[in-house]
Amino acid sequence: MKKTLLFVGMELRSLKPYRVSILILIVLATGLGFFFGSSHALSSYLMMVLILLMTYPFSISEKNRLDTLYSTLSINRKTVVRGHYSFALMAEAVFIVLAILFSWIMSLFIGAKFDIMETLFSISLLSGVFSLLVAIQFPIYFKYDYSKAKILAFIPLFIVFLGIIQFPLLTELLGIKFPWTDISFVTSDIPAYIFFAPFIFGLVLLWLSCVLSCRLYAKRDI
Amino acid sequence: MNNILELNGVFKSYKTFALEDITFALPRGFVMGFIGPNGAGKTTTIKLILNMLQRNAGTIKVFGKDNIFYEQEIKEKIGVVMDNTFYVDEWSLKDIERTLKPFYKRWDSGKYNSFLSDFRLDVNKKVKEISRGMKMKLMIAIALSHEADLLILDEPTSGLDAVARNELMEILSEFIEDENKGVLFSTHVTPDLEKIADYITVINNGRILYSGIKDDLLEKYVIIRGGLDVLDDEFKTKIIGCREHNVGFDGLIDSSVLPLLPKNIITERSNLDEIIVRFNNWRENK
Repeated sequence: MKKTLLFVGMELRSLKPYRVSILILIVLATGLGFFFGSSHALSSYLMMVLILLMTYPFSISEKNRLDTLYSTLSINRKTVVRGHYSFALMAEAVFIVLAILFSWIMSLFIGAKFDIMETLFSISLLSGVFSLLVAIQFPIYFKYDYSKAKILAFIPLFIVFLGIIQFPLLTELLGIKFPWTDISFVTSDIPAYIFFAPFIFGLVLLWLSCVLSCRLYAKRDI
Repeated sequence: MNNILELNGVFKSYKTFALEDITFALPRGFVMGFIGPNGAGKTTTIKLILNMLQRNAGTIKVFGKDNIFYEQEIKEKIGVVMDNTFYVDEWSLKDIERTLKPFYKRWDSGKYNSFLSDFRLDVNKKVKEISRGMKMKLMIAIALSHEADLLILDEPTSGLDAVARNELMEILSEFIEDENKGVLFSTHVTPDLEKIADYITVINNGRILYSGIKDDLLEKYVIIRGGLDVLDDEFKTKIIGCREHNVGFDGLIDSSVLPLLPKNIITERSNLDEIIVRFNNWRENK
């Protein structure tokens, strides 16, 4: 566990050169959320930044031959994999905190509606999507190098975003009225514990994905 | 004998290249030169030792322990220097210490800073800002700052000037004064090894051609030169890397065959470079 945390520290340090661009992306995402006056939109943009951020360690690792560095340290390959997943979980936790905080701030400054249950439901959904994408993408990165894997790994991302864009059109075509800007109808109809189902489901997916990645990375020639 | 590193019957195959039956041992307290032409399998062997590649067969023991089962314990005591750095370009030398230090129980910050100071490396400089020679010194500083018992050097001198190479040799000489330590030094720049190596392992085309004491290798093979009149087919089969030209021939030969050779043959002491080149030619013509 200690070495996994040390690895996360190393991962964070490897992002040091990109801290300004990461900050700019977060500010942009928040700005867009404020511009549209929707906390759900804000959370979605933040999640997009988060998903983008998840590819950075793999890209940096390939560029700087960090897999070789890992091979010289007193850690085994499982630690490397668990470290990457722990980093993803940590980033997800930061995302949740930021999304709640910014939604609340938004309600204070521009009078946007802030309903904690709605916000939590929206964040839980987004976390589920994030976990699903990471659960698909990470094993691909562990199996191949970043350059070889990136096209393959971006396919699920592309499908999810295409789905998000196309879903309103699809509901419109089918004549279903879906209130995109107000999801209170969902939150008022379902029990609270269901709110967290996507989040919990995402965690289970991440765990399964981590087990798979450990196996794939153990077999990979560096 | 107390070996610090032992490879036994190691195989690793790719589509177009294979390491076959790699077997050698490095006793404690010595420097082993691991030599061979480019593409011979030196880096692949080193990667197998570091468990960067999955071997198909064989055993690798470091400090007497299996390199996979005891990976974490073993790596605590191995220092690795490669032909290029493997740190984030944007890290400063201070960042490197902050990052690596927690991974090693025996990390000595004083030693690290002292090495950087000796090598005239500024702790605030970024990896991308230092020259190739300085990068090599940085890797040496890191390898020696966690009190490594085994140094594995993969082509550390390629592209370095004579001064930097000489400095490296001095550092290694000092390191090996402790008889519990060992150095595996892979290179194709063999004059460096003539000065420092006690043992030599020659690899070519994925096979070990020789592994043993350096002086034995240099005594085992001699260079011969002679006129074409004495070069018959039977004689040719005894010559390793035979090169014929207008007025005669030259090649490498096992010194045990010397008494059987015609008297008008000139013999010269061989060197590691000649041995590699001749073996390489011999393999290619086979």
